[in-house]
Amino acid sequence: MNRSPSQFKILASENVADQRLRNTFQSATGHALGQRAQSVQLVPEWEDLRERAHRIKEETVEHLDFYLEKLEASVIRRGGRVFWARDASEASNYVVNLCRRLQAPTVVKSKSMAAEEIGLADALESGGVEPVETDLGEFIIQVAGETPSHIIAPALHMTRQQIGKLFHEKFGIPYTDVPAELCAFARQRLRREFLSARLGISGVNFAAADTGTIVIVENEGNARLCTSLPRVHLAIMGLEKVIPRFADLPLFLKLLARSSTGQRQTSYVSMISGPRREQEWDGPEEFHLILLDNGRSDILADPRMRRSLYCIRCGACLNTCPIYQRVGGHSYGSVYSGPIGSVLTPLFQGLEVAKDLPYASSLCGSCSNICPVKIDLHHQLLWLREKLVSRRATPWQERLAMSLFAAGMKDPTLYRMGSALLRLLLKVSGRGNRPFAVPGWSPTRDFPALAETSFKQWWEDNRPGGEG
Amino acid sequence: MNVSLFIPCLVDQFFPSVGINLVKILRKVGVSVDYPREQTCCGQPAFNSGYHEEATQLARRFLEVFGDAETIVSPSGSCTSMVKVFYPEILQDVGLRKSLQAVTDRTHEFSDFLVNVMGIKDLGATFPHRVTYHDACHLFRELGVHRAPRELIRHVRGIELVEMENSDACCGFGGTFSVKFPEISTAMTQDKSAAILKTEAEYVVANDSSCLMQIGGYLSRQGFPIKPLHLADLLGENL
Amino acid sequence: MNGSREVILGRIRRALLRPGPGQGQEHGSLNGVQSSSGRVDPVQLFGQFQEQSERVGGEPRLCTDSEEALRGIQDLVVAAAYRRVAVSNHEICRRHRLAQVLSDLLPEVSLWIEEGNSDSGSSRRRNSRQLAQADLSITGAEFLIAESGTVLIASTGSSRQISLLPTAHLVLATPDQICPDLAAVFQQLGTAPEEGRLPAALTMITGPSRTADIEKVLIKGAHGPVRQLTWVIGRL
Ligand code: SF4
Repeated sequence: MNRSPSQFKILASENVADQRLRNTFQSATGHALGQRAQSVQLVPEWEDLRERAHRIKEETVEHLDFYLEKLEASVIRRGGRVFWARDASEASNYVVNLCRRLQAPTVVKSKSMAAEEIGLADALESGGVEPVETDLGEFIIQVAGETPSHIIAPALHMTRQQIGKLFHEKFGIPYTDVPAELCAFARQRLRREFLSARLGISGVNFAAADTGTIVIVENEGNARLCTSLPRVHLAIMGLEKVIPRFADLPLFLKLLARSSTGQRQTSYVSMISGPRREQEWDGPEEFHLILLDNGRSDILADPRMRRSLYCIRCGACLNTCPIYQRVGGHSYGSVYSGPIGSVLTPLFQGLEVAKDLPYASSLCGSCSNICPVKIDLHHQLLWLREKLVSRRATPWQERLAMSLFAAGMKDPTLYRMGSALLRLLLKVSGRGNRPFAVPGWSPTRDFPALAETSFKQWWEDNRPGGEG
Repeated sequence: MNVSLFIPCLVDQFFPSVGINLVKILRKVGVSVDYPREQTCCGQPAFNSGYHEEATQLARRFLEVFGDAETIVSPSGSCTSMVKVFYPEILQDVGLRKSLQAVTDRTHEFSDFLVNVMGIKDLGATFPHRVTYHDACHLFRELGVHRAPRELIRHVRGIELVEMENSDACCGFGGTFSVKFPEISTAMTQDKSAAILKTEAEYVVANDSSCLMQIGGYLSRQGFPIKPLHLADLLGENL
Repeated sequence: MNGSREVILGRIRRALLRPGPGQGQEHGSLNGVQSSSGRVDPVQLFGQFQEQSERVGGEPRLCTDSEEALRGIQDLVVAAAYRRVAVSNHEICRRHRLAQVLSDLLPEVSLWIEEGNSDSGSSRRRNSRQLAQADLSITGAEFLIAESGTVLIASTGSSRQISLLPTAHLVLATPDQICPDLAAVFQQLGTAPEEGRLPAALTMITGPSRTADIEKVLIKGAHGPVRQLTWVIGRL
């Protein structure tokens, strides 16, 4: 299903009207927020940790070239290979060629937003390789031909009945809507794939520059299987996933687990430094790391937008966003949804394509408030709005209205006169101060009446003698 | 103490009673009140829509109008945060730094001013009703003010304050957001209203007229009897 | 390495010519998280580990000595009617002579012992298939983390797959391996990470494998073990 961020308005108004979908998202995000709040409560130094993580990310991003070269050197020292990919096609081609060399008809894949971002699964299929998604949520949506609706829980939008029907139709198993049975079926089916695949693909949550260690955080164990059983492991990461030191991990792991699912620790955290070493039992013989740019260096070029590269993809800003909660992930027409999606999608895909996203926020600020690395998300949206305005990409009516507004507001006499004139006109027209019908507003909400006397006028009339 | 009133345009044109009651309150606590007549708008509508040039011009005007004020008090968390939080982001000229700093330091949202600057919690008002309080986003998250308004409410005689669920969840207004995305905005108000109704309060109180316009507009359209009430109106009318 | 390397680095360097919000951060001044405590009472530490592990569905237990542990394993296997048991070659398994003792104690169970280095790809694949059939595997830990009920294992101690493929996974540990928190573990791990002492895979395990991908319903045993047992052998 191909959706574009340019369709946000349409998709969002459709989805917000879908009461079932809305309930699904509101209860799921509410649940996640509750779990998060409980676990964060137990960390009195939480704010301090956020601040430190922010500063470490700042340090990294401001010296990104240095840390990436360091990471590269460390990975190579550990016997791994590093591939720098400028864009989606460079990255995908590298993977497809690797599959050819390995003569791998299938690859097992664990969750990776970077892989989603570049459409790796589609590229593999066109290259004649079958990508098998192994994260349960990803598996479900792959079978359904869907895209993820949440960066942590990709199949959040689907009900157990829908999944049951899907499995029944696609795999011919007897219908069941018991989650545990559906999960058991997927487990059994995917085991076969794990045992035979020659290549396992994973994402990266963090990559420590000093040791060349990539870290994968998960609950299911599929990422462990992808990185342990196949002969070759390939990990793909956006450039910004690098962190300076292995020793920074406790901090980031603590923030990530608690922010995304409210866990103290996820079931599994894999810290992988290169391929299997000689004296070890098992593990891949080759380790490949793709460093993906795909627009990140452009984001870096705008100092005001740089902070969006601090993101650790915890999903908390999605959960807390009142807009995301009501329109769901698919409305955003991109793999990144919610507040961080509204920031990243216009930057990755172009402001013109994603014009509505920066405005898809009431600027309530709860995203910035919850972000474990303290990205000023709603400010980022404001800067994007400003970019749109300075490129004259907003409607001319709005531009005109704004310049009239500014002209009127800059001149107090004009403001005063306008306010008086308006009231006079209403009076002589016999309309009185009955409320106006405001497009967009009035169909669902009453608009207030203009006050008979403005405060300014009242002050003039009642100006106290001795004061002011 | 001399206080200069900063009255947002929405209050000026649609809800002047909020300003009038604020004057009453401030006089009652013994400060002298002035209203710089040259003031218009802080520029927030332009700023939030991305028209930063227009907003910057209005920000400069604000500094001219209020540059000499001893203390600036406003009945809006949103407009106060425009001055305190966003002016420093858009006014980067070194020449303005000092006057900007002075103005941002001296600007206060009114409940914050009363409780945290003046140290006054009890204004002597009486209001024997059941109310619930909505935390306006900018007041709550940009300015971190949530205790002060509750203190003021609790000290009103006869009042019963019932907390709603998720009192800090956005009401759905968001300026032009409310008309750009009316369906989402309304859905947010719908949920906010449900939380309000659950408290069985007679009034929903907030410190921002824009939130009250949104919530009140929805409640009255739905025919619910619960009334929106600005804290300044609650306190000032019932002194 | 490839051509795009220089292009990307060039772009980054050009982009960074424009100063960001907080340039000039002192490198190394922001190291990690401080460990919350110094010496902690081992009874308290184990208590915390136990509580946290149980919270996430793990099965922690304290065995005062080798004998109790071995009898415990016997009871576990009998109670759950496990037919196939895999034993790793981890130092702690060898120390308690698990392979030998268990084959005496449980003659009806088919025991699979991880031996030597499974160097060739085909033998490793064979092992995978064996392990995928196993009901229970027994391995050893490097550290336990009390704060979160976590076990840390290393690819140098046992194979990666032995802790992953069987239905239940039992990790054996000693009291001195319990650390208060993640930061304390990293302090021990991180003495000289650059020197390449890190094993290729360090894995932290907290409770059984799980998923909540279907309607947020928590299910144990998504892809990895359905049961995660951690037994500490020794006196506190
Ligand atoms: S922007 Fe912040 S809150 Fe949102 S996903 Fe990224 S790290 Fe999490």
